[in-house]
Parts: sequence; structure tokens; C-alpha cells
Amino acid sequence: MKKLTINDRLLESITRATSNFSDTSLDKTTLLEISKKLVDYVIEVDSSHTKESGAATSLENDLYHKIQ
Amino acid sequence: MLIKSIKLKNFQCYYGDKHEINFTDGLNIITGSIASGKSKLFDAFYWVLNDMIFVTGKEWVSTKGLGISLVNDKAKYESQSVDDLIETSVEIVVNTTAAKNSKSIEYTIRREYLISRRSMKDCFDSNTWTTSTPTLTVEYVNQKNSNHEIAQGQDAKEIIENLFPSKISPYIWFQGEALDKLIDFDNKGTLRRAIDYISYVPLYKTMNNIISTVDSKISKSARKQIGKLSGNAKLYNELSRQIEEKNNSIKNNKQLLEDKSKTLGERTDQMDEVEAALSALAEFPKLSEEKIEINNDLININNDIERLDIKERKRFSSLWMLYGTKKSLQTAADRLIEFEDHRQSLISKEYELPEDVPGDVYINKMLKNELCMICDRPAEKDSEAYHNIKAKLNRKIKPEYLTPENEQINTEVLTFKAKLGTLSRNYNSIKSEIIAHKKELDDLIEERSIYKDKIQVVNDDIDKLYTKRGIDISEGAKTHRNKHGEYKTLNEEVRNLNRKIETYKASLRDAEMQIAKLENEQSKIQRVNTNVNVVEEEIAKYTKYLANHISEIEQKEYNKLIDQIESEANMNFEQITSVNRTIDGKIKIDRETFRVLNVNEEGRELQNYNTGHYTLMKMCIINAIISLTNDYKDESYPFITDAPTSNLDDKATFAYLESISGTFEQSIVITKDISEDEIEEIKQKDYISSLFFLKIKNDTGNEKMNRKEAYSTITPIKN
Repeated sequence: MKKLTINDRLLESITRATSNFSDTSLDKTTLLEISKKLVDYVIEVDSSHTKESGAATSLENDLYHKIQ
Repeated sequence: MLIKSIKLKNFQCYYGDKHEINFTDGLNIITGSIASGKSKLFDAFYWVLNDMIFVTGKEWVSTKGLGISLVNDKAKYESQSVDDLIETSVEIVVNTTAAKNSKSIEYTIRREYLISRRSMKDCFDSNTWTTSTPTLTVEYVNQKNSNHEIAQGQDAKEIIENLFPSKISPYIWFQGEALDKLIDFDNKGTLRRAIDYISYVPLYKTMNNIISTVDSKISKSARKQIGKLSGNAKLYNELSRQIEEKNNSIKNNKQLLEDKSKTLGERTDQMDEVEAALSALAEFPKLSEEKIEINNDLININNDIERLDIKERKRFSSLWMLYGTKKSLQTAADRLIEFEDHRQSLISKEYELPEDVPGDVYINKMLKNELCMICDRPAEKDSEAYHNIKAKLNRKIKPEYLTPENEQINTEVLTFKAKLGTLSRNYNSIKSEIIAHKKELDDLIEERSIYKDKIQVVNDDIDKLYTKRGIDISEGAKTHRNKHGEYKTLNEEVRNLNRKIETYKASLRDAEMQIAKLENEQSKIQRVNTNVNVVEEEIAKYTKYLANHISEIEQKEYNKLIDQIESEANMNFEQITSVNRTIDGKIKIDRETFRVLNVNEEGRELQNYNTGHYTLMKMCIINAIISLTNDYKDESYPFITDAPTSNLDDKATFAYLESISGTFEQSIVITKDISEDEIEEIKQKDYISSLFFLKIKNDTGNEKMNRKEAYSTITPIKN
């Protein structure tokens, strides 16, 4: 069995908690993609708070790009 | 990760350079009797990695503070001349586990400390030696270029921090006797910190921070754009301004909350340390007060003895003198009686008058008859003849012994005689008094002997404490007083921080409620053009959705981990308690207070569990934490502990050892709970991979071990 990475485990916890985003009418593909991006940024930041604002700006840009 | 070996040279009780232990994976047990070098071995592990040793009462003491006490006494004693060098070193070899993208790496970590002799005075005096700064090296083969590298200083420290992260150290390196305070599950932060380290919970916090920042920015932009389309732009923008104001207030309060929470965590940690130190030092003030109390009692008893002794001596010398003079006094008394009899006989004697003088009877007759009866001539009253006759009256000669001087002597003789009588009556009362004093003195001397035994017991305890802790009683008691002061200050600070944190939380809740109210008011304002799509508004729907869910997930994951720790700890606990029917119930972590409880099947807390029982529960939770760390982080750490089972009985001890053999890839347990005659039986147990026996010996054959000759030896029994 393939061993889960930390990214896999974090993403899985989001999809599990939201039952694959079944509790919203928002676009599920978009939500999954944003969640993936968010998890990737979190791993990059890795609890170093100084990098958090950079990660937030990148995610904001991703959201504009995705939703516009 | 595995610890392959440890080598010791002249480290504390380990003399010379022949001490090496090769560890295996699984459970490695190192046993030996009291003072055989077990704790020093644990110190060696700690020293090589951290350049310090935990000395109870002094807390963490660096090599500088330890000085020549780190160096073996026999080696110091054998030094023959000035400038002699003694090398003390500990070396451990660590193998990391191979991962997907990396091979296993072998690190040789070595710390070395040199002292050189300055003079030939007392070899155990620190002034006799010149000390140096210890050196640390880490040798390994670089995986990128296959070069042999030697890291020193900060580089070496960083490698050690990566290998043995300081956050997890308290759970994998501990001494059993300090366990209660080292890992205090009554403190909410203890489990929280463990969970933060072993899990991804901190990552959810980061995730929440990122998505909340984005949501805040996007929502602000969305409000700005919607304001332009609003039918009542003035009101809408005013509400936006108020929302922004509240958001800024939330941001500030969150920052303050985070800062205060961080400070609270630090202060709580400090309090834990102070509490641990206070607990470890508790014996010092207790023994110190006991010693003072017994000494005061002894002083009082000695004063009583001295007082009685002086009194007895005086009484005895009086009696002795009385006895010595008894014969003379008796003779004197006899003579006095004779004297008195003689005197009385003289007083009673009828004194004779000279023959030519008529007696008073005749003279009175002559005076009455007014006639001289000698010459028969008349002697009329008041005539010359009459007066001549009258003058003959009372002409008795007074005896010499009736003179005033002799009367005085007589009085004194009588007084002396009375005193003699009193003295002879005192013989018996003085004698009884002396006997009573003697009895009282005997009782006091017996009492003093009991108190001397008591003070001996206290002094022995003080000596043992000194051997164990390396600090004397007054220093320990003083440190305890200082720590108590520190504890009070910290406690006050923690209470203030908690009050502030509650205030910030209340402000946050209040601001969030007000924002919801303001947003509700904004939503009621109609837009001029409903066909215009505001992209920020669309994005905010996603950011809000994720922000809400991720803060929920953080809490859920946290609760899930508590469940996992509780479940895993109970598996260990059941395994151990199944062999010891005196321990029952199961472990429950209170979700509100995070206290570790022992409960029955109905979940009600059991009241009768003892320290050993509680220690066992703690150790099961530690096992669970480490086991989950291995699962979550795909990392395994060797578990190294000194005297973890000192509070457990034999059956529970072995069940515990079996349990940890299944939990950790490698564990090194230093324990005194296996006696020399049990070794053969114990080494047969499958779950024990390696067994080593420590013993203190000397080469002189002296039964009594002294620091100049004695040293510890390590014998592999199973390896």
C-alpha cells in the first residue's frame, strides 16, 4: 500500500471533514484545487510564520486566477 | 534511528577507556545494584548530547559547573605529577533509519573534556586542576559526495538537534524519579505540547492563518466593490468601515492573545520546572528542619544534664564532706554534751562562802533584828552598823564560766550543736536527692542517646542525599526557599495572564458578533445594478467556506489525537495490569482539564490508586505519544530511561518492560529492579534483546569501596 505523504493526509482530512464538499453548492473542483494549493503552501511554510503572508498572497492570486 | 553503541572514558565512576556497550534494536536492559553506575551511564548519554547533566536541586549543570567532578576519581588519584593530563570522553554511535530518498547515515557523536594537573596538592580539590572547555564533534559520511565529514561547534549541535529534537526529548529521555514533575499531566499544556509535536495540528493552525488572511483581504475588496454598486453607498461604506474597524480590533486582539498565550506557555513550563525542582528538593528543608529540631532538643537535654550534673556534684561533695566529718562532728557533739552536762552540774552546785563570812540567812536575820549576832551590838536600821551588815549580803563569788564572754561561747556552742543536729538529719535527705538526680540523669542520658541515634539517622539521610544530589543540606534548603519564591511569582504571573487571555477572548467573541450584525445590515441594502458580478464576492464564498471548515478540522484532529493517545495508552495499560490484579480501571484523559484519570467501567474516577499506579498510567501515555510520533512523523526515536519502574512491583515492572519492547524500535532501560540472582532467569525472556550488568569493584580486594580505588564495570549478559 502506498504510504501517505503529509500533503495527502492533510488534504484527506479536509475532504473527509466536508464529505467531499457535499455540504456546499460551491464548485467542488475549485474547492479541491484551492485546498490542494493551500496544503502545498502550508508544507512550504512549515510553521515558519514569517512565510505565512507570502503564502497568503500566492493563494489570493491563485483564487483570482481560478475564479475570474 | 538506533543508538549502536556508547563508549566511556574516565567519565565519573567509569575508570579508564574499556567501557563500551553495543546496543541492539528492541529492548536493552542495563541493571545493577545501588551505586553501581547506572545513573552515571544515563548522565553520559545526556552529557554527550547536551553538555550538561541534570543534578536534582541544581537542575541542569553544564560541564563548567560540574568541573572535575565529571572526571573519574581513581584517574585523578593515580595522577603522579604536575601537568598530567586526564581525558574524559563519551562517544555514541547513532544510525538513522533509511528513508525513501536517503540512505541510513551513521553519526559518531563525541564529547571530550581535558583537565591538567596544576599542583600536587589534594587531587580531589578543584584548585589542583586546570580545566578546559569540552569539545564536541560529529563524524559522518556525507551522502551527497561520500566525503568523510567532521562537524564541530554549532554545526555539530544542529546535527544533534535534528537527530534528537529538543521538543520530544522529555518524552524519550527521562529519569523515573523525576517523572511526576517532568511530565505533569495535571498541566493542560503538557498534552497540548506533545500533540503539537507528534501531529499535524500546528499545520492546521498555519493553514487557518493563511486562509483567514486571504479571506480578510478578499472580503475587504468585495465590500469595496459592492459599495460602489450599493443603493445607499454612504450607509454601506459606513458599515464597511465599522466592519473593518472590528476586523482590525480582532486582528490586534488575536495577536495579543497569541503573545499572551505564548508567554503563558513559557511561564507554565517554567512553573513546571520550578515545581519539579521543589519536589526534588523537598527532602532538603524537611531534613534540615528535622536536624535543627533534633539539635535543639539535644541542646535542651544537654543543658538539663549539665544542670543536674552540677547539682549532683554539689550534693555529692556535701554528702561526701558530711560523711568525712561525721566522726569528728560526732566526737564534737559528744564533747559538747559533756560540756553542757558539766556546765549544768556547775550551775546546780551550791557555792560555798568563805568561812569568815556568815551566810545570807544569818545576815538577813541580823538585819531583821537590827543586831549583829557576832558581836551582839545593836545595829539600828539605817545606822552605819546596819549598812555594814547589809553589805555582806550576796557576796558569793561568781564562777569564771558564768562570765559574759563564756555565756557567749556557750550560746555559740548551743547553735553549733543545733546545726550539727540539722546536718545529721540532712544525711538522708541529701542521699535521697542524689539518688533521685542519678535516676533523672540516667533517664536524660538515655534520652540523649535516643536523640543521638535520631540525629545519626538524619545525618545518614543527609549524607545519602549529598551522594545522590551532590549538594549539601544548607545549600539544598536555601535553593528550595529561592525556588518557592520563584514559584509564587510565576503563579501570580500565570493567574494574571489567564485573566488577560479570558478578556481578549471575550473581546473577540464580542467583535465577531458585532461583525455578523453589521454584515446583516449590509445585506439588507439593495444594489443599483444586480447584473454586475463582483469577482471578490465569489472568491470570498470559497475562502469563508474553507476558513470555517479548517478551524473545525483543527479542533477535530486535536480531539482525534487525544482519543488515539487514550486508546493506545489503555492498550499498554491493560497489557501491564493484566498481570497485576491490584491495579484496575482504565486511563481516561479529561477533555476539559486534560488531567489523566483512572476510571472504572462506568467512567467514574477511582479513588484508591497510589503513586506507582499513577506513574504507570503516565508511562503508558508516554508510550502512546512516542508510538504515535513514529506513526505520524515516520520517525522513530530510541527510548532511554533511568529507573522508570521504581514505583512498580516485579510483575508490573516486567509487564511494563514487555510493553515498551513492543512499542519502540529501540529502548534502553536502566533499572535496579533486577537483582544479580535474577539475571539468569531474566535473560531467557524473548522480549529482552540485550542485557548488561553493572558492578562497582576495586583491584585492591578491600571490601569497603572508596573513591580512590573503586570503579564501575559493565558486563554483557545477553547481547
